[in-house]
Amino acid sequence: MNVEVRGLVRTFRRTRAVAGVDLSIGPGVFGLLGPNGAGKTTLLRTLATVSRPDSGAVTLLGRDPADHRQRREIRRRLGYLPQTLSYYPAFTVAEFVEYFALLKEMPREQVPGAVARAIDRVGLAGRARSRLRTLSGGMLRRAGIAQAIVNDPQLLLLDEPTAGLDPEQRVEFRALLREIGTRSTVVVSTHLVEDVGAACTQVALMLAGRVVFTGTPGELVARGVGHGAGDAPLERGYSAILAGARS
Amino acid sequence: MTGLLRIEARRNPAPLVLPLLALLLWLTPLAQNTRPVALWLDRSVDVGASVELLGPFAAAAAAWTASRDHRRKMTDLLASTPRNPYARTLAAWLVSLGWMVAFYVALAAVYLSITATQATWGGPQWWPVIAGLVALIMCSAGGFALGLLLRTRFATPLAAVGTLAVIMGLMSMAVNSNAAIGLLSPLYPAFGLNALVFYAPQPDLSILKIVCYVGVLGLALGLAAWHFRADRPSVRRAGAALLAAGLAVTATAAGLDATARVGNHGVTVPAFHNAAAGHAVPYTPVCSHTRLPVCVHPAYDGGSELAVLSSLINKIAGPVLGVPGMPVRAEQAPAAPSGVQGDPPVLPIQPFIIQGTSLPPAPAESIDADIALSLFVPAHVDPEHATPAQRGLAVYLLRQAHDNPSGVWPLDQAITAAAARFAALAPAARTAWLTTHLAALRAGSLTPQDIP
Amino acid sequence: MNPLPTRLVWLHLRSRHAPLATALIIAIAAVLRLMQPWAVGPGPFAGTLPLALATGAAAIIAASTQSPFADPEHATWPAPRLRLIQVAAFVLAAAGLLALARLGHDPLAAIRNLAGLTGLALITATLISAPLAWITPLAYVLYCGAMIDAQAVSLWSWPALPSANHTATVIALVLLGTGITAITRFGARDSQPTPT
Repeated sequence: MNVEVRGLVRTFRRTRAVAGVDLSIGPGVFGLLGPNGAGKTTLLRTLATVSRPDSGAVTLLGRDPADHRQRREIRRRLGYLPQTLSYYPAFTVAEFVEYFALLKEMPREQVPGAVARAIDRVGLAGRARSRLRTLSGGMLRRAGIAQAIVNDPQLLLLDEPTAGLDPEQRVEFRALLREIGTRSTVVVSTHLVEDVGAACTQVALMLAGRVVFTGTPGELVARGVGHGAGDAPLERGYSAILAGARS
Repeated sequence: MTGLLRIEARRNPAPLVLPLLALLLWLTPLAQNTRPVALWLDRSVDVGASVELLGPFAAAAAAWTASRDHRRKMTDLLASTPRNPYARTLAAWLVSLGWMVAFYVALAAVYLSITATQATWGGPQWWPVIAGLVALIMCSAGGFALGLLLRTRFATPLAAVGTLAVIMGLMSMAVNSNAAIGLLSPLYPAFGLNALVFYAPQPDLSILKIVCYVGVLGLALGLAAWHFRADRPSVRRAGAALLAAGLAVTATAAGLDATARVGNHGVTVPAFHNAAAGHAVPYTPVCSHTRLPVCVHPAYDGGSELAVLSSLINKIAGPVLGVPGMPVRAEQAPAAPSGVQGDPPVLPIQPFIIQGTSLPPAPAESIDADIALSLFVPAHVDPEHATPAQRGLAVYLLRQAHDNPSGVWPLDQAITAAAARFAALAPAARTAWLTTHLAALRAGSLTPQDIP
Repeated sequence: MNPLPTRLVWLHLRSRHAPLATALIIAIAAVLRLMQPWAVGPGPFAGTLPLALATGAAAIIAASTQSPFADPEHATWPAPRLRLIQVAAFVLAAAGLLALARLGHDPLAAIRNLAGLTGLALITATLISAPLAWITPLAYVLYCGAMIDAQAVSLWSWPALPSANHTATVIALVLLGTGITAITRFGARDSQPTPT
């Protein structure tokens, strides 16, 4: 398992953003669903080693992120796309991706090729020399994905990765996720259930800081049969589980 | 690390302020002072003092760079990367600093190259230039630390204005109240400017400043490292070491500053003082061929300095030349202004640089007054302490030379009336009276009413 | 024109970090007062130091005009009035504080200089960016300091002139008026509407 979480708790003042989460995630694409404020972003930030848990055990890629040396090793093998992507407007797309390749301590000789591949995989090869300030919202999102995958991460964490992408780009992005998931662990936090259904092999549903469902997308669909509101099977399964957890 | 530096070098905003700095330097006395006379010591001190202009912008550029991650909301994304955050941020700062240092070095090269074509004596003095460079790095480091620690939109303007206020404030304290701490201002001259070329330069103050600035630099970098202490024990240790070292060095500099003594030849710091420094440097003066020969140090023999000075002195002293006791020669001397001295009598002239073909109005009044008063005060007495009778005759000399006597003060009715009476005399009568009364006049025995 | 709700004005001021800005301006005035013994008399340093500190206050006022909201705020009606209220309040408060700090040493000149330098900073904020609005007034003060040093003060370096010089006062007021008009109408550059 690339991700092992036991009893994870993270509190902000009086709010328990993550209230005891247990997860085991291996290679593949793992979807993280939940309403606003469920704790998805906080969980993802913890897995990205950006935020430290208040209690609980976390093991990432077989290493303990609480130890600074092991944390450094984790970060070399990590790709992270936060929910709100910020950037230096004066950087070009290539410089932005190269910057993060260097920050991830990739061997120097590998950087140019890795940057070119990452930009090509997200369909921005024609805009590699464009300044980030000239890009549309969707292109910026793709540039953010490029920096997350430039080091061929063993653990890829994506928070709302398809925000701003058009339907065609979302289809291409799901194919990219499936391809990466064949050899790495990808954790995708999203509101779009169709992304989960199309790309994920496992799904977890969070509510009020807890995981209330873990299983395959098929099992999520099954939970919604005859129950729940929604226009699609996954949506019905999603709302059925939430209704059950709230009652 | 070199890859990061390369990206930073391409995108750092520091170069954007360099044209503005060049324009400011062009408009300030630094550029105006590139006309002869060129004194190496004076010009070297000018280069170091350019930190007054460069320091605030260096601090602001560093603060802007340091606050960039927070401003662009990149902190989370960058925190997920393995690169040492202190090293990463230092790389950005080093590039920002590098631009400012390159500008300073270019400024020094240009300014001292111009000096090399104009100077008639001596060679460059590097201590003030080095002290200025270290001051610039210190200003940049201070802005860097402030930008990291004070993560608000006000960090950059505070870095800029705060740097200027500290530089100016320290200098004001030195000038207005002789506060020892003021000596550490980058603006305080490293050498006694009055004694510039007559004595071997003492680098004591420059060395003290460098020690102090290095200490503050260590403090700033230590504070910056402390900001990242949560992520890495190595950064925490480095931050603590830098803070401790910076504090120790700064405290040492403060202690040494308390022992500094300001003299006519400059500032002496016993811990750094070399007994061989400060000795008089022999030279052969260059003299004019006027009725009263005026002699200057060869370093001042550039442009029209000698011609303007000899014309000025002869114009003022003309009516009294030839009277026994009046000077047969005027000569530059590093001491404060005083009366005629020696046998044969010589009028000492304080060194000052004449830019162009005449003195600017404000210092001209003061210099003219000193020359006129020096003819009548006793030897080794400051013209400021002239008696009313002595001032009366000085006013007469200035008026006959068509100069403004307002530099002679305080003036009252009796003094101006005495000057008018003396001017009304025939030249022979004036000479006769002075011949018999000069000694009493210089002794302070006469009043304005005694002047015919 | 209906008056703006007090709550709206307060929220607007908070979004501009008004409490911090006020604290910083008070601190600058306190430093100016503490440095009083060394900021009087002839000489370039005594003359430039109060100008430098006035620049600090002007830069803080201009930096506070940066909006964190950009487009959504620009689509609202009261935004210009709120900017006007904010800047006017800051200028009045800073003028009072700096004048108090310079009591006994030409406080009217302190007010005039704050007005002119703030106008310069606000114009820079409109054209370039609010956090970088300090560049022009600081560069100008450095120029004025050089003119004081060279004993060549003129209308080009009006902040160095005494308060009795009415032309300098007019220049300062024109700058302030222009700056306030620009920031009210357009806002700081980095928070202006995004061109489509």
